[in-house]
Amino acid sequence: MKKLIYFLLIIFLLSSCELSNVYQKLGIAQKESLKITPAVTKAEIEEGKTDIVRGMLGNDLFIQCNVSVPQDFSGYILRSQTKEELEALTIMINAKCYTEEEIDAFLSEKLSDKESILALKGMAAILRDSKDKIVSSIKALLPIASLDSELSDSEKKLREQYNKLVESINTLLDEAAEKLFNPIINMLNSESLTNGDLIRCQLTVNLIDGLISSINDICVYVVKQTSSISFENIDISNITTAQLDQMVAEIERELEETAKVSISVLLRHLLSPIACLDRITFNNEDEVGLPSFDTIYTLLSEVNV
Amino acid sequence: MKKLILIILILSLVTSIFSAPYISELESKTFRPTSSTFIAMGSSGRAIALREDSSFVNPSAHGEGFSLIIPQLEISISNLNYLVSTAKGAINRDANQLLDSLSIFSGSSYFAALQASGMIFINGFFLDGDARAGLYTDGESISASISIPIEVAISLGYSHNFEFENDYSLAIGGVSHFNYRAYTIPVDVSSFVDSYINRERLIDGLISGSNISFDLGATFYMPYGFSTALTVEDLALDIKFKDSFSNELWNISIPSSVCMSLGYKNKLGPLTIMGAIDLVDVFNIKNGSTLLYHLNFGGGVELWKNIGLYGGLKGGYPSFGLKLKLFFFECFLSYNISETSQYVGYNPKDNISLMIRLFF
Repeated sequence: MKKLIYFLLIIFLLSSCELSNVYQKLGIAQKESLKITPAVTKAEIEEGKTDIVRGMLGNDLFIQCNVSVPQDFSGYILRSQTKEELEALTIMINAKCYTEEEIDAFLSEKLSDKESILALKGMAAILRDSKDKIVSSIKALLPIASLDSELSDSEKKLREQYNKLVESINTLLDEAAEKLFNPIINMLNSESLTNGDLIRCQLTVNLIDGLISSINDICVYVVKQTSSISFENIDISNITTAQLDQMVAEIERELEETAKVSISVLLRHLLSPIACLDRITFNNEDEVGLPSFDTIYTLLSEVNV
Repeated sequence: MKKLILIILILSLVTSIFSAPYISELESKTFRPTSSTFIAMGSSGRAIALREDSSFVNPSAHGEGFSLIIPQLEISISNLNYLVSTAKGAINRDANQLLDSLSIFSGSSYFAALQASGMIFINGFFLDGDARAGLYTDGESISASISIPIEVAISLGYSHNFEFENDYSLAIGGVSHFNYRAYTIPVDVSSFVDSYINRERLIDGLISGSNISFDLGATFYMPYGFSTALTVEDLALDIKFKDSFSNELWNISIPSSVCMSLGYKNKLGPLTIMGAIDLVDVFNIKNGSTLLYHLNFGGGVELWKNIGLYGGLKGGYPSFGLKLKLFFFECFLSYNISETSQYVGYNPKDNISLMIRLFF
């Protein structure tokens, strides 16, 4: 009896320290079962049509990229997740009650839902046939401003920064093509697919959607000759939203007359999360102050779910 | 696996096409300030409820006579576990520990709150006024938002005690609440912090709502300190909300709940021993597996009613409390964990509260 009381007291205190549920820790109450609600959609695309990923992305952005389907496709594919779906997945994986082992076991679990399996295979087929076109199309959305010897120092600095960013995105896309798309393409030959495969594929679709959406909004033209904006003294990895807003407002004011440039979207949607990541991993070694994309490469390549 | 979460974090921040109508968790809950003793005992003890719990735990609990509790102040802070983890992460430069900082502002709960109340009891009638304000984090994931709510409840109740032979008695009571709440339109956490640092406008608009609700309770007292109680909580009219910015109006219905309790409270020399088991929200127990999550139980021991030590489990989450009472002054330190997600175990948060009051 004494041992039982001590045992219960220890569980009680442990649960307090770990913020865990005593019933779940004792194994006498069930946890919510781990599950994924796949964002599956049905698509029928004729050969040569440019709406190859309309279903996948849930918008028409890719049509502008003119990525045509190399052959007829009919079947299930994954679409980009809605905010609610994405949050549900984040909450589930981040839930305190599951151990690493439980999550790993769940990710290794074979997929039983037929539609999800078909969607994975469908997605893999599309990426196999269109990988290079998708990548080159995203790149084509990023016009690289050429350096002008007549520009003032501050203008040069701005363009240098932007060009560096574009180069980084290009490199990221090359990396993504290999590290993200290839494992999914390999799923075509897999006899059994797992929940982990589904998440990997879903994240890739979300990532492509995020990139396309952001880049599409950038629309950079020519930097105004009189621009006096300088990033020289700004550590972008530690920038606050208010500073970002102020910087963006200044840039937009400078550029308003010659081009409706929306660098704000670029900064907000590409730099902020990367800066956030860099803050978390303390990877602030980039010489020019822009956050490094190395963190993302590492993360993407290490997600062996 | 944390890396995978980071990827999801990037995606959720990067993608710009997401948009969804926002419904605050604040709208779907009523303000129910309960005593520190009740919280420390795992939110159990309806059958042995104290006077100060007449308003929101068991309206049949207060009995006859006169007493005055004024003023009562309580300050509470949540997320101690995450705050410690974040501090360690910053010191050790540990990314995984720092990731916990993202959880500080997740979950639908008060990050910090200040509560004030006053009560008067006269011959079966009681009047209770409660107010709470603080910082509230809303939403379950890392993309949580923050707002500043102010909640007010004014309660008026009555109970009557029927005495029977052999120490048996039955108390029945009812209480009506006028509830008012207003909160600033929730904003993204990072925007909120930046606005605060840069002394920009924090409040874009106010959402406010009010309603009237009722609670009923019956307690059956038995010999040797045993008692059992049945309560019905939140028999409420819809809360009518208004957005001062857009002038939009909408109603939110509040679900009612039925709770059963079995309690024991008896004096043994200088000690008062107490214990209780409560089954809460009885009609929402879907199957056997979730029964335990509706089960709260706890106990406590008091020495001359001046020093009290309490503990309990609320749906499986531990709680503790320490009371010190000297003449008319009382202070209570309590610690409890509660679930802030829709699923048990997903996002539990801890909370520490210090209550002080004058008791006549």
